[in-house]
Amino acid sequence: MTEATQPVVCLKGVHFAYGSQVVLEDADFDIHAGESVCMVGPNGGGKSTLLKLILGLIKPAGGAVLLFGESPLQSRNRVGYVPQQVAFDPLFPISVLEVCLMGSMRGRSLGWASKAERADALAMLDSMQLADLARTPFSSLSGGQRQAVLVARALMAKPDLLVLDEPTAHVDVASAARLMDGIRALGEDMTVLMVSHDLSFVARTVPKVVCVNRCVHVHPTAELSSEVLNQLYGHELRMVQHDHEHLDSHGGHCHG
Amino acid sequence: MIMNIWTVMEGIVMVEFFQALKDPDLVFLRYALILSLVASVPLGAVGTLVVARRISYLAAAIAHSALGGIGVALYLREAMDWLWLSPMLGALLSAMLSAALVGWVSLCAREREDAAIGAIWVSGMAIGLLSIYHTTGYVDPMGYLFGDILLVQAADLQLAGVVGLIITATLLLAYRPVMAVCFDAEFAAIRGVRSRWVYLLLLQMTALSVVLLVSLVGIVLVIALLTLPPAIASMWARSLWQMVLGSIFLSAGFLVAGLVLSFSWDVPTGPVVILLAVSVYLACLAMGRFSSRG
Repeated sequence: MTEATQPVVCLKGVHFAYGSQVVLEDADFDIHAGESVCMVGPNGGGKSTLLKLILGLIKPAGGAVLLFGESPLQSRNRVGYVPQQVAFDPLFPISVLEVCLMGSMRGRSLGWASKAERADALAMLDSMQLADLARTPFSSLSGGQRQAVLVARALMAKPDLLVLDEPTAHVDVASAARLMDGIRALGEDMTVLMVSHDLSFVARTVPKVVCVNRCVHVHPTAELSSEVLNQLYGHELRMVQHDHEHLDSHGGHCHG
Repeated sequence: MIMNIWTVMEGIVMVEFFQALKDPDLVFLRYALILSLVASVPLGAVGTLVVARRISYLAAAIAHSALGGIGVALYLREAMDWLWLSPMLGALLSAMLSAALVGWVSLCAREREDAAIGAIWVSGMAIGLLSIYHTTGYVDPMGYLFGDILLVQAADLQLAGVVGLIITATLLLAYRPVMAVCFDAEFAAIRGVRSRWVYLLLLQMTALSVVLLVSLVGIVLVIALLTLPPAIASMWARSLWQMVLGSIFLSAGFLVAGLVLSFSWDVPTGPVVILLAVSVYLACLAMGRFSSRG
C-alpha cells in the first residue's frame, strides 16, 4: 500500500481492558488523509482510552493500532496533540513561548531551545495572532487563548495528524469557530481527529463521527439519528433539525 | 530613629559574624557559610521543580527516610569499623534508594499511593532510630533531625560540592525535558521524552538536594527550605527559570541571614533559617492579598 492510499489511522480488532473491566472490544476503523473526524460517546465509554492507544501512550491487549502504516511510537513525529486545558496546573510558572517551544521537542532534546526553534515558535504564535502574548504567563490567558496556544504547540511539529481532546471545553462558540478556522488555514491537508461532547460543534465541524461506547461504529455526521444517539448514550435524546443543518443540544436533548 | 538603631545593630552583628569567620576555633562557621552558598543553587533549582510539580509530599518522604541511612552509617562505622561511610554518605544512599521506591510507587501504584509512601517515610526513620539505639556511645538524633552547625565537617563540604555540581549540571543539561514533564508529562511522552525516567531523575535530584543540608538544618526542616523559597519566588516569577533564579537567591539569603542571626543570638541555626523563610513567605502572602484587594 502506498503512502497516499494507506489510512492515516488504522485500528484492526483492537481490544483493551483495565484489569477485568473491558473498555474496548473489537474496535475497527480507518481515518484517511485529509479527513476530519470526531469521536463522541458517553463518559467511561472508551474515548480517552482510544485516544491514548492512538497516541501510543498505552498498548492494546489485542489487535493493532497503526498510524501511517507504522506503530504509534514510530510515527509520533508526525502527530500533533492538543490535550484538554483543564489538565494543567494554573499555578505552574511558564510563559506562552515556553509552552509553544515544547512542540518542537524530540526525544533527545536537551539543554535549552535553539534560536531557530525560538524563531519558529514566535512565527507560529504570530500566525495564531498570539505573538503579543509570547512573554505572558500561560496561566493568565483566557480559555480560548490557552486553547489556541496549545494548538500552536501541537502545530510546531508540522504534524500530518492532529489529535484534539475536547477542544471546545471551556471555550465560547466564537473562539471554538476561530480555532477550527485557524487549524484549517494552517494545515489544509492535515488529518484531524477530535474528541468532543459538543454535538452541535461536531455537526458543524466534521463530516464523519466515530461513536465509542465499548464498541466502535463510524457514521457520516449527516446520518446521525436519534436512534443512533439513544443507542450510544443509553439515554433518550431528541434531535431537532435547524434550517442551517446544525445539531444543537439543551438539557439532554439534541436538536438537529 | 528606630531605623537608625536597627541599622547600627545589624551592622554590629554582621561585623561580629565576619570577624568570627576568621577565627580558627570557629572553623565550623566557615564550613556552614560555604555549605549554605554551595547548597543554595541545587536546592533552589530542585525546589522549584518540586513545588511546580507539586510533589512536596514525596520530597518530605525522601528527606525523612534519610535518617535510616544516617543511623546505619553510624552503626557500621562503630560496629564494622567502616570509617569511610560518613553519616552524610549514608543519608545520600538511603535518600536515593527511597527516591527510587517513592518514584516506583507513585508511577505504578493504582491505589493507596499515599499510604505506601507514608510507609517508606516512617520505615526510614524507624531503621535510623533503631540503628542509632544499637550504636555504642551516645549519638543524639536531634542533630540530624533538626540540624546542628557543629555537624558540618570539611569532608561534607567536598561531598556537597560534588553533589551540587552533579545536580546543577544535570538540571542545566536536562532543563527542557524536565520542564516539559513537570508541566505536561503526557505531551512530553508523545514528543518522545521518556517521561517516567525524567520523573525518576527529578526524584533522585530531590534526594541529593535534601541531603546537602541535613547537617545544617536537619532532615525535618530541610523540606521547608526546599519549598518556601520557590513558593515565594512563584508570586512574581513569570516563567520557570525566573522562579529558579529567585529561589536560589532566596535560599542563599535565608541560609546566610539565619547563620548570622543564630550566631548572634547563640541559638540553633536550622529553626532560625526556617522561621525566617516562613516569616518572609507569610509577609509576601499578606502583601499579595493586600495588593490584590487594593
